[in-house]
Amino acid sequence: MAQPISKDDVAHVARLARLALSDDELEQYTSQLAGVLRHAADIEALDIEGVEATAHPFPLVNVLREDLPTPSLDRDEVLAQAPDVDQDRFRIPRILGEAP
Amino acid sequence: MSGPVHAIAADVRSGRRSAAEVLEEHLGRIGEREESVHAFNLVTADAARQRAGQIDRAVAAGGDPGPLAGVPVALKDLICTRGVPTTCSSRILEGWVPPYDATVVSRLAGAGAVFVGKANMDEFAMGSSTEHSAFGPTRNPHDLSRVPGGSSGGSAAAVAAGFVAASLGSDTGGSIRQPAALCGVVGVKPTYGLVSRYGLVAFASSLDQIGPFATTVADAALVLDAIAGHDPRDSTSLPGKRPAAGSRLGRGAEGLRVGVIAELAGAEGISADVAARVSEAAEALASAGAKVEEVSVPSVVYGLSAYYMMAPAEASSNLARYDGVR
Repeated sequence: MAQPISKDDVAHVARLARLALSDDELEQYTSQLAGVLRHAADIEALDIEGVEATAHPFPLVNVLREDLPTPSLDRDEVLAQAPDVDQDRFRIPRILGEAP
Repeated sequence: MSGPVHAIAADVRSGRRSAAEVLEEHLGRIGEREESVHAFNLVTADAARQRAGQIDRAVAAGGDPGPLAGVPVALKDLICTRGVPTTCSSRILEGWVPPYDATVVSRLAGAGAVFVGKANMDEFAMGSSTEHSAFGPTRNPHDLSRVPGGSSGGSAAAVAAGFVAASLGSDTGGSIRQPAALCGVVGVKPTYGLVSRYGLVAFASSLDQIGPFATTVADAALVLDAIAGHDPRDSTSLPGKRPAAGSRLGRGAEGLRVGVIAELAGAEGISADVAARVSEAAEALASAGAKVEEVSVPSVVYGLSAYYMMAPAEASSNLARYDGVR
């Protein structure tokens, strides 16, 4: 059976995830990920002609509450967990650069 | 109806024993064996002593602290506890202290439980052995050379070692049931929606459930009844009232119909020992009066493959938040 994923694919995904993998680890994860992808092939091989799509076995619908103010978490206690705070807000590193 | 949870609660409520005495007995066992078992990421002995003192004062004042009065309990370390670190056995969350309690935590507290600590687990609940914790593995208290199962291995080991009378774990694809089996204790994955997940760090939301570990079925039922019930803060929580698990105990197996799935008998990957124990359990149920019959569930063999599609996809969505923005 052809490998469903190549070592190069795994190296590419590792680069995207900022993971430095040794050659042995690349081999190991290629074969493990191939095992997971074979599960997808097992499901794909099923004949589901005429089977209704099921997102969940229970008839769930969105649950909404009345739009009324209710007590929420203590702001100072929540902000105390942030590495950096500016007034009443979380302060995070800049993610969008300014035009040069 | 029996077990250490029932016995402790009855003794503490009636004043026969103090919650403090019960707690010290359990802390003593932790002191003796925790270094080799490593069931906990954190033991909150001081907070537990304060809490036990409160319960004893309530009893002395004529009050009733609840159905779990003075019962020492461990919580899997992905259940949020206000003011107590919650790590998911990962360094990603190191230093984070939740600003709120999970619903199961407030319910157990309201029932009189005493929290002893946060139990070790596979990192973010991904694993089946509790070897994959950033803080080191948990060992099986029955044989330290063996794994306790996982991912709720710390919760199962803490009960099996007698460190606590009961604990909570979470189960996505076996993470309560399998470690309970490996540690020789009772573990329940409740019906989806029965127990609120508010304050549970999510793995795969269409499968995750919180459930109890204990040494007897009656004890597990008592803990389950304390945490079950609708919670408006979990939108998948089932509305309405359901019969208490405890009310269904003691009826025996007479009149039960039990199906043994034909496709799983001798299936690939099942050890001969496990298959033999399953047969013995079916025979025991039959001789206790249950009607045991073989049933065919042809789609069951696709269960694992379907799980490997759904669980990692949902985990990928749920855990992306820990990856930051880049």
